[in-house]
Amino acid sequence: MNPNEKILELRDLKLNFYTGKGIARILDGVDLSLKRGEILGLIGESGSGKTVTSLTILNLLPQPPAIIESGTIRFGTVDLLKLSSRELLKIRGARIGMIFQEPATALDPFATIGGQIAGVMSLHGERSSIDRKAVRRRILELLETVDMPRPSAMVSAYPHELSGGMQQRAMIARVLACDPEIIIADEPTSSLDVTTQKRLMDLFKRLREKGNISSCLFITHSFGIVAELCDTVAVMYAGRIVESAPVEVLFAEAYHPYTKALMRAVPDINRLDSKLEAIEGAMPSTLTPPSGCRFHPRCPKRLKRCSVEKPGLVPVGEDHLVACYLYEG
Amino acid sequence: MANQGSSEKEILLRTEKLLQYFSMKHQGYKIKVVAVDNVDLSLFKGESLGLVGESGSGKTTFAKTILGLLKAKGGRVFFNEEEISRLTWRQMRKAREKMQMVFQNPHSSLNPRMTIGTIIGRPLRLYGKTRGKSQTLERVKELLKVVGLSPHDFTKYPHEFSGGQKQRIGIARALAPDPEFICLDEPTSALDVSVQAQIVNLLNRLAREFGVTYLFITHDLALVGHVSDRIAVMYGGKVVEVAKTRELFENGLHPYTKSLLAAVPRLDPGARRRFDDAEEVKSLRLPTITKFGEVEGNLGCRFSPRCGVAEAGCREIDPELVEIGGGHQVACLKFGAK
Repeated sequence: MNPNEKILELRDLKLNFYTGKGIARILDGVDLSLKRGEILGLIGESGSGKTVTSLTILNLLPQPPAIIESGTIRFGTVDLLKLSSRELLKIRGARIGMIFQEPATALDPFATIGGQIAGVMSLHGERSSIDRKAVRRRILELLETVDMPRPSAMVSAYPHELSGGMQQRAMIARVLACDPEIIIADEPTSSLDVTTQKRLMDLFKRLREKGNISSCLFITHSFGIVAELCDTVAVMYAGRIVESAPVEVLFAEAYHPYTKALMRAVPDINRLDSKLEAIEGAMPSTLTPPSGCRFHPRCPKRLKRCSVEKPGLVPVGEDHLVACYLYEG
Repeated sequence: MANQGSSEKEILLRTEKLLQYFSMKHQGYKIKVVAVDNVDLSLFKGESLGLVGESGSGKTTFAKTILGLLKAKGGRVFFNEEEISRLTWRQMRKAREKMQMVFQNPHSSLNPRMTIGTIIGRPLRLYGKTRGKSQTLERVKELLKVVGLSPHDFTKYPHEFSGGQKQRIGIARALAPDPEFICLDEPTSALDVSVQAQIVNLLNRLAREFGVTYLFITHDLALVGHVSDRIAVMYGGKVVEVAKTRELFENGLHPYTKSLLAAVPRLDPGARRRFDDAEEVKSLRLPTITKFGEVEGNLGCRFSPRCGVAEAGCREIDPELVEIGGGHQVACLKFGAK
C-alpha cells in the first residue's frame, strides 16, 4: 500500500447557503487531502466552515438551503458528490463513519446503546449471517474496546442514563461497528470537561495503536488537541484552507499570518508570562465576505493585491502548503 | 497577569462556611444537592482570583450566592468587613453597586429590546451616578471607549454586534457603577480564541487602570494562568486547593489539581505523551462519578472515589483546607489536613 495514497481528497469545494438575507458563501474553494493512515486535524474558529466541510463529505446538509456550487470530493476512485443517495447509503456509516460533536443529540434517545450499535450492524452487514448471540458478543466487544464501564449493563441502557463522556464512548463504539476506512470526528470532545476530554484523547490514541482507527479527519478548534493527537493539520479561515503542514512543522514555524496570530492568541500553560496576542476585528460575515483573501482586513501584513485576488495554496516546504501572497514567487 | 505586586493584603471579600444547596426529587426521594459546601474563601483587594473546576463543581452557584442572586442557605459573606449575606433584597441591591457581574453568554445577557445606551446607562441611573440624559450619555460614551468600542455605538441594538463586542458591552455595563469587585463567570467560553485574547487583554488593562478585584470563573486552566494572581480549585462544591498561580502550576498538590493539570493539552507535538505515560492519567480512569448530592455531609473526601492515591481514611474523613505555607492551602489528608 502506498503510504502517501490520498484516501480522501477535496478539490475546490464551493458551497453557498441560500438564506432569506441573501447568499451566504460558506465554503470558498476548500482544498484538503487525507492520506491513508493519518489523523488530519482540521482547525479553525467557529464559523470558519469546518463542520460544513465534514457534513458535505457525507452529504448530510439539506439541499437547499445548501447548494454545492463546484468542486469534487474524491473517495478512493469515486466522487462522492456524483453518487446517488442510494449509493451513498452504502458508504455513509459503513466506509466513512462520523462522530458528532453533541453525543446527547446524535444518539437516538428511544433506543438502547446496544440497539443502536446493532442497528448500524444490520444496516451495513449481511443480514443472513447475523445471529443474535454473535451480535451481542460483538457489541460487548465494541463497548470494551471503547472502555465503557460495566459494558454488559450498558448494552441495555438508554443514552440519558449515561454521562457525556460515556455517551461519546457509545457513539465511538457505534462508529467502530462497521470498521470504517475513514472516521470523521467533529469536535468530539468540545462539550466535555477537561479530564473527560483527556480520557477520550487517550482512547483515540489507543484505538489508533490497535488499528481500530486508521484514517481520521479530526475537526477541532483547539491547538492543544491537534498537538496531542494529529499527524497533519489544516488551518481553516472563513471557508478556505489557509495553511496545511505536518504538526511538528506547523508548531515549529507557521507561515500564514492568520495561523501565526491564532497560535499566539492561545493561552499556553507553559508560557504564562507572555501576553496573549489578540487578532483585531472579528470573523467576516459570510453574506458579505471581503474581496480577495478573506483574512486581509485583519491581516497586519496585507499587500495591495490581497484585497483583489485570492491566493491559492502553494508549497513552501515538504507537505507544507500556504495560501498567502507573502510566500508566492 | 493582572496586579502582581499588590503588597498590602487587605481582604475585600470573604466567605465563611458558605453553604448552598438545592432540593430536588430523585427517583421519588427528596434529596439535597449540595452545590457549595462550607466554602471559606478570601479575595484580596486588587487581585484577580481564578476559580476553576469542571462543570457541576459549584463555581457559578458560588458566584451567584456571594452576589446575593441566590440566598445563602448557611454561612456568611463579608464585603469590606460588612456582612452582606443577611441583607434584604432591597439592601442587597444597593450593596451590589460595588459588586458587579459579567455573565457567561453575551448573547443572552443583554436585553435584545434595549439599545446599548440604555443597557449601559441603566446602572448609572439606578445608582445615581449621573444626572439627566446628557450626562448619562456622556458617561456611556466614555465607557464604550474604555472597552474599545466606538462611542457612536450607543444607538445600536445587541444583535448588531459580534460575540466579542457583546461581551465588551457586558463589561462596560459592569464597570458603569464604578465597582470594587467584578465577578466574571466564564466570560470568554462563548468566544473564539482570537477574540478571547482581546477580552482577556482588555480585562487585564481594566484591572490595572481601575484597580478592580476580579473573581474569574473558568474551566480553562491555561486561560486562568493568564489572568489570575491566585487560583482556587473547586471540586464537588468544595475548594480543594488555593495557591498563587505559578505555585499551583509548578507545585499543585491536591490529586484533583494534578489530574486537572495533566489533562490540559500541551502545545508541543514534540512532547506528545503516549496514552499510558503519566501516572496521573491512571488516576483519571475511574468508575462513574457519584452525584454530589449523594455524598452530602459524610463519606469523606469528595474526590476519593476518583482519586488514584486514596487510602482508607480518605473515605471517612472530609479534609479541611489547611495552610501549608506561603498562602498555599490544600484540603487533602496527605498534606496535613484533618
